[in-house]
Amino acid sequence: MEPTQIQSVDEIIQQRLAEKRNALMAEAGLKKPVHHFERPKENPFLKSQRGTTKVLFGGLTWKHEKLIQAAWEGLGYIAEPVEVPDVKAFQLGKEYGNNGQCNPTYFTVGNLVQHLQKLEEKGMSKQEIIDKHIFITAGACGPCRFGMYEAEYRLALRNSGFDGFRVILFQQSGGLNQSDAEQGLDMNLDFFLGILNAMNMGDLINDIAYQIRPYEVTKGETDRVLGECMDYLFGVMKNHKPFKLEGKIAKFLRALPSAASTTEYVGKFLSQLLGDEYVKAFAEVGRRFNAIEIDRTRAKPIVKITGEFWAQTTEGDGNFNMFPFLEKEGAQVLVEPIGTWIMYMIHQVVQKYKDQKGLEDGATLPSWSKFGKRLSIESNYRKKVAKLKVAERIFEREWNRLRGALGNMPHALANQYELQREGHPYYNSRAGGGEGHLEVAKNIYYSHKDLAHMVLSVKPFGCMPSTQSDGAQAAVVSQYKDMIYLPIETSGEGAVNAHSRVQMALGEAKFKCKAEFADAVKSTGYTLPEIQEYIQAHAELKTPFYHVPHYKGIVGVAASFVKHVGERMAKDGVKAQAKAA
Amino acid sequence: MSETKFLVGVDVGSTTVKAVVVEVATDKMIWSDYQRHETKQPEKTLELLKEIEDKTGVCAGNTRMFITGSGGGGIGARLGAKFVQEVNAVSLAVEKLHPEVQSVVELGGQDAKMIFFKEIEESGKKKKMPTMNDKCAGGTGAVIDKINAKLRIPSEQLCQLGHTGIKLHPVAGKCGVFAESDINSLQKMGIPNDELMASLFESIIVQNLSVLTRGNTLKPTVLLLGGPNCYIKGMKEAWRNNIPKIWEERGVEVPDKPIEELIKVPENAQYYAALGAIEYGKTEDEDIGQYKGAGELEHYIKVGRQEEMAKKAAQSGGGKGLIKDEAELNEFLDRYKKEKFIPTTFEAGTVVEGFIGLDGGSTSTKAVLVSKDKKILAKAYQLSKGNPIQDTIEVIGNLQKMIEDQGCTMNVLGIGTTGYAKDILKDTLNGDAAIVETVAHTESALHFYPDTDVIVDVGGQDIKVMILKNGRVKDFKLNTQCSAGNGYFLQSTAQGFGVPVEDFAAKAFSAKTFPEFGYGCAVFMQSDIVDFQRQGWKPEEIMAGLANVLPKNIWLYVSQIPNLSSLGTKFVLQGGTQHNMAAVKSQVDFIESRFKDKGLKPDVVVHKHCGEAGAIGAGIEAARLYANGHRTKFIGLDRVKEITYRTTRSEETRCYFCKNKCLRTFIDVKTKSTTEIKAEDVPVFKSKVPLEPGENRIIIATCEKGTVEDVNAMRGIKKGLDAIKEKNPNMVHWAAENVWKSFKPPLVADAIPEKIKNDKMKARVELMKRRAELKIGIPRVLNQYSTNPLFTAYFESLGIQPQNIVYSDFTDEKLYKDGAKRGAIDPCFPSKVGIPHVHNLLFTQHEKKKLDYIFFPMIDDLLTPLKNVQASRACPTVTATPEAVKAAFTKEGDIFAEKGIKYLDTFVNVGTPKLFERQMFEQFVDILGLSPEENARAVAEGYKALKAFDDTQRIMGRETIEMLEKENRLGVVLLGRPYHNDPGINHEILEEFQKLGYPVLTQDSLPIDRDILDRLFGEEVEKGIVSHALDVKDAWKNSYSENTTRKVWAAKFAARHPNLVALELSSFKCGHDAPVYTVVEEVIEHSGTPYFCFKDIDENKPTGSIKIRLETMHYFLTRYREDMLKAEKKLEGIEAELKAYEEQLRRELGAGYQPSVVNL
Repeated sequence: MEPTQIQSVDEIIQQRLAEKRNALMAEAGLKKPVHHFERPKENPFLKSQRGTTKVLFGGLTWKHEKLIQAAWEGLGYIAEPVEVPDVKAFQLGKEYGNNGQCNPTYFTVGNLVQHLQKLEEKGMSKQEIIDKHIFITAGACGPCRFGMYEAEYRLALRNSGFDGFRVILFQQSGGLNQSDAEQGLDMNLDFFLGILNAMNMGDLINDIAYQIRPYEVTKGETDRVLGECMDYLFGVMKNHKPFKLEGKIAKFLRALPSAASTTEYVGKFLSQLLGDEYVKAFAEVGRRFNAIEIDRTRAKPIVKITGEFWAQTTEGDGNFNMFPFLEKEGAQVLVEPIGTWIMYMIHQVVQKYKDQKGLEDGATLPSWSKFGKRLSIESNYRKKVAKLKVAERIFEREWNRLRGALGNMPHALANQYELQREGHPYYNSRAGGGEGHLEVAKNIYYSHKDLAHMVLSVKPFGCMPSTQSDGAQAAVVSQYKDMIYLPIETSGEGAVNAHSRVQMALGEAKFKCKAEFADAVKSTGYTLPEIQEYIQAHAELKTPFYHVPHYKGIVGVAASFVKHVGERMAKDGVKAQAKAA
Repeated sequence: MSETKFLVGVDVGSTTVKAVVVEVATDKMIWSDYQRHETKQPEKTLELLKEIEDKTGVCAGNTRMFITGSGGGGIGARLGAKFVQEVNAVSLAVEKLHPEVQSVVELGGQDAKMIFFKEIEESGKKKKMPTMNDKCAGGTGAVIDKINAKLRIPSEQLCQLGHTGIKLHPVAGKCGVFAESDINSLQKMGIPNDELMASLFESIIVQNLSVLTRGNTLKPTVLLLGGPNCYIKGMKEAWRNNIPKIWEERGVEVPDKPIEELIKVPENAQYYAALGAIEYGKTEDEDIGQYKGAGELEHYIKVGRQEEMAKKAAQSGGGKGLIKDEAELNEFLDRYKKEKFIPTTFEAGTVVEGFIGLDGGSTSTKAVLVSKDKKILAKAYQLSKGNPIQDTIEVIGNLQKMIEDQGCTMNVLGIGTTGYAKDILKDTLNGDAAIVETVAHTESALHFYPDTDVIVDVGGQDIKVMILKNGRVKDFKLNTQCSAGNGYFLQSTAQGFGVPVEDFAAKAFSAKTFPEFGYGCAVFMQSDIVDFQRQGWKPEEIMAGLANVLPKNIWLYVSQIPNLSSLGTKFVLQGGTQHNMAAVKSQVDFIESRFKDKGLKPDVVVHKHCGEAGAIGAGIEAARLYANGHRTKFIGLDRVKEITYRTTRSEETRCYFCKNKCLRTFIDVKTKSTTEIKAEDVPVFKSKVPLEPGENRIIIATCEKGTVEDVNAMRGIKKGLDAIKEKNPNMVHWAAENVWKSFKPPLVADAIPEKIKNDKMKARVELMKRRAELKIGIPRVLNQYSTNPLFTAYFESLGIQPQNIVYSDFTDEKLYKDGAKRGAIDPCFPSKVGIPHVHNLLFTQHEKKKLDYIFFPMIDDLLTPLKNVQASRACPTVTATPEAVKAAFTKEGDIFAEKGIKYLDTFVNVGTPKLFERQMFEQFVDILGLSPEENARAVAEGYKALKAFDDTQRIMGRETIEMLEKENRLGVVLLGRPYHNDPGINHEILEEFQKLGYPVLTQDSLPIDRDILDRLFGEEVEKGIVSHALDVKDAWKNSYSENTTRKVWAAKFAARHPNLVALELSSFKCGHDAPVYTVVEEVIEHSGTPYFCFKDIDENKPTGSIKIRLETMHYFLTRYREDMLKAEKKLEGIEAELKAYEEQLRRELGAGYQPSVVNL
């Protein structure tokens, strides 16, 4: 029997009045329940779905992506990078996204839509696509619109009919404390170490490929070796077994849950630091690359690529296929490693801590005369920063270990403190968003350190921080008068114009490079054919890992090389016929 | 390889091919020629090569060839020529021929380039700094071509048009499309061609000086190269009139020479790129650039190109054209076959009564005669001859003739006008109604197709989309200022190909494939056209491609509605462009494709009077008024024929009623015959342009006050306006004025120590004393519009005198133009004006009051009243603007230092008060001699002032909302960023709303008192949808950008308040607005609240477009309010009925009533 209640007269009247009101409102066409907008619910990705769900991702070079794929597959995920975004993807992004977005948004968002549309064309139903795929992307908490990409993905997916498709975010700055961590993705240390290792390895292999290709004697050899090495590394990464507590000790520690997780955590770090699995693999990769015959007497201007993160990384329409174009035009491309970005992010947090040192105790730091107070502030600060400093060192150490395995041919990571010193006077290093002060700093750094003849900054149409730092470059360029700096706006369309502008600046760089080369040859006292003859007779001079010293004031590979060979020839007592004549 | 006898330089540009032959032995130019290629670059190059071979002996084996120009790459590869980039080529030629030159300006058809030669003191070497336009054609010869084609000035005459001493009018040079709109409206005001072109030259030069120089100075000697510079007298003059002003301002040393030598055009200038290519070639090895004869190029023209195109077509999806086959075309043409309009015939002697509907459009004038029962009796059409009155006289004459030719007479019962000239025409004819185009088109569509859901009107200049619900406009979209994909663009492209516009469709349908255009900007598409031609696409294919992209421009670019099926199923296409069946086909296909997924088929119809829909709407309105008892005062058909008018726009018409001193246009119309003119027809006030007896003056002015000449009449108008303003507060205006005022904080500075103990103290005391004299300049820009009280109160409370805090002027055209030339980048306009504002401080304010500092803080984060947000960061463009500004004034010498001013772009975190205190202390300790304690007190005063400013706004906002509620009226909430309070950035749109009787609120003036928040958000907080009334998580997740999140919150507020509607303003290139466009719109529209927007607002003020939109919005809001009042009335009725019902119930259920038992 259900509970009952006796209604009072008033209650009955109120009830009837309400009924009557509804009827009258409906009759007058006024009964409009106001439905306020709520953003669509986000569907979760569950652990149980892991075996049947493909993790899609993208945004880097195919080399980086292939290694990330391997790392994740090694952890038990089904992973697949989406294609390199093309103009069609850009157009789809424009079509389904908000108007007025920046170029990388259109390219990357449209690219996901295009990938899903292709799956549909192949016969998969929309629902199946939605159920069996997720897309994972990086997020941020401002200040540029990059942190809003996630919403843009969702909007474009909804507009293109893939409403409910899951976009999973991992915060760049959030590290391991993933607030948005979803059950399906276990964003643990293995997950992140996998990404970090893949990025480092991708960076280094990318670096040497771009250094060797312009000088290869047999056309296509570098790409062939690169392909082989990537397949090989894919296997190594996929088969990598993350550190796991095993045996008796594991059993013992498992009885103490927190101890077990801490020990496992430490174990993973140590395994990363002390293990040499990847170093060994890189030694093998190095061996294969070093077998490519190269001719370093080709004077080619070195073009350092900087700019916005995605535009400077992608190898496709997103930057007008700039890298192959530059190589075709006779340049050597110096690509930007993702490692610089990772180091930058750590560095920025250190700076933030520095700026906020002792702030909780007051806006002004107590002077050292109040020794105790000041000491406690300094010591707290140091403690806070210590972890980050360790992270900086570990990252650099890992980079250099792998770099060493490639005969130290890849470039060293740029020093963040030096970059800050160079860039800050022109672009405040605390201004966040995009590449912050890095664009300005790198321009000075690479030009100043004789590392590039020309700096090409690829700036996507609509990129906010990149545009402003370009404004600051106006002062940089006029103060470093010898610098060849060219900003290019990548608008998705109009490759012809962009290429023409690059040719324009490259023309200058070529003059600079040729003059430098001619001077270098002249300085040896030998003629170029004489030098070439000597090189022919010394096979090691034709290998990529042969170390050529860096001469102050000389940028180009060919100029340094002939100067060095000239010195060797003189040392070997080779007589210069031309000189004798 | 035999010996090289000749060096050939070829320059394949966007409009011409130039070639030179240099004899190696003498290094002399022995042959040269240039020809326009009419888009046939390979053919023209081949023709020139054949001539060269014939006349000079050039052949494969004895010649090296170097090719340059935008079309040089592909052609060069077929000739064995080495490609040389144009700027490199030009700079080499200049270095060889003019070593004294320091700067070069080369304007081409599609390109604009500058080269700055800078001597490096240390090495004595010359450094070349080239700059080149991006993809945008703004500021290039293409803009001149485009406008010239419109004005139809013969080329010989164009070359003779000048600049010196000719009256200039504002024309936007930033974009060819904007320039065209400005020229259009100037032309309509009767400005003569020479003034129009001189104004265009000026705008092109200003555009190049402010963008292409990237802030560098064009030092003498300046060399002018390229077609427009070399051949057009006015262009040369414009450079010579503009550059010296910059030299003077920047203190450039100028040699004592005539200006023609300082800014010069060399002989043979057109060949410099070709000559330079040869110079470049000389530095290359002998085997580079060996000419292999013209055979391969010839083969390419005859066969290869077609093969390549076929391949391309195959790659792009197998030769898809606008139609699959003939059958589909026939079926389509049959389906959309136009019912031929047959004018009604009458028996001789009939008096034909009707209403004239007139549409004074931008490119044509249309007239219809509508009967009392709203049938179309006759139509007339007139391509614009430049003046709408003249066009109208003719079209009405035509209508009359049609009737009179049948032996009948025409009796006009009323006249309705629409189109941009609607008001002039109504005034001239004594018409009965002037209705805005959007309304006219809706009336017309609904008349013929009552179940219409969507109207798409594509006219000459505008694209309009009207979305209807229950026969009422629910929403509308208009192109803001861009003419992307409009009818005129299709027409001018066809003309460019020599195809009559009537043949466009047939041509486009004949294409088996077409190139894919990127939709959007018309100038970008223009350059795509050139690019496609270069790739070998045929005219018909390009035309098909253009037709294909049209719906994308309508739906994705202008309207931003990818999901068409949500609008309904009945689409009516109208506007002159619908005569083009290729355009119709692609629209029908596009619309249908958007329904496929839903399993629906939309009904897309073409309005049977698609060209005259606007005029019909106006006619119907006149008929409606007649039916309501209104009787016309139309001047009569006989008078129409006799109308005479004269247009004056000169110094005499300038308005002096305010400091803007705008030029006006007087149209003096005489509609009475001389016999009828009476003494009282002569105006009683004096005018510099005296009216002749019988003339009526129509004044086209930029504001209401300018619409009269008599000061008393103006006062009357002003009084009326003031009364409206008084009743309808404008918080945008209030905030823009008051944020700069002193908040009179108490002085919290330390007392100046009387005893000086040491040097350190002495130095501090000096600095403390200096505070009373210190003058600080602050630019009125960006986030200063919301945070300025924080800084001023900080300074003032430390002893800086309020009068010594000096602001730049409000943004206006002059301020912008004066300072913009130092800019090196092209960000959003609000950021771009940073440089002009600091320029204004340096060069204008500093002259009046010697500034010690310019303070332009880099604000990184802001205080937030909102809850549960990720962060409250400022926009990165805004934060970093002071750095770009600093670069602009320090790149060529330190202007700040030269003026004795220190520039402080202090990095501050306003949202983190403790950190802010530290940052201010670090910046000002050695400037003001601060102690930490007084700094802390001053910061506290700053925050207090900021709070006071915000609180005042909110109190006023609350009062306004309460007034709206009480009077049951509507108010407009501006969804914008702080700098949208700047009248120079918001184009005074809000003031127009105020004048129409809508109070205007800012986001920051929306009250956040508990009771009002409970009322609007309480239920959602209770249900747990949001954590707090000031939380936006329900609508927007990525809430780290403070001004973006505030916008979303304000949208939520407006959506929930019945007396508020929302107006979104967003500046072109706003990177933080774009991601929330959809969110903001959805938040508002879900609740049924009207939402309007002006997006992509920029430096130019598209007055015409703003006017149409405002009128439409007003019309729309008037109807909305009517509905609101009706609903209220109904509600009152319901309440009364319920009251009676309650009484009845109480009687029925009185004392003896037995309550029932109910189950719960």
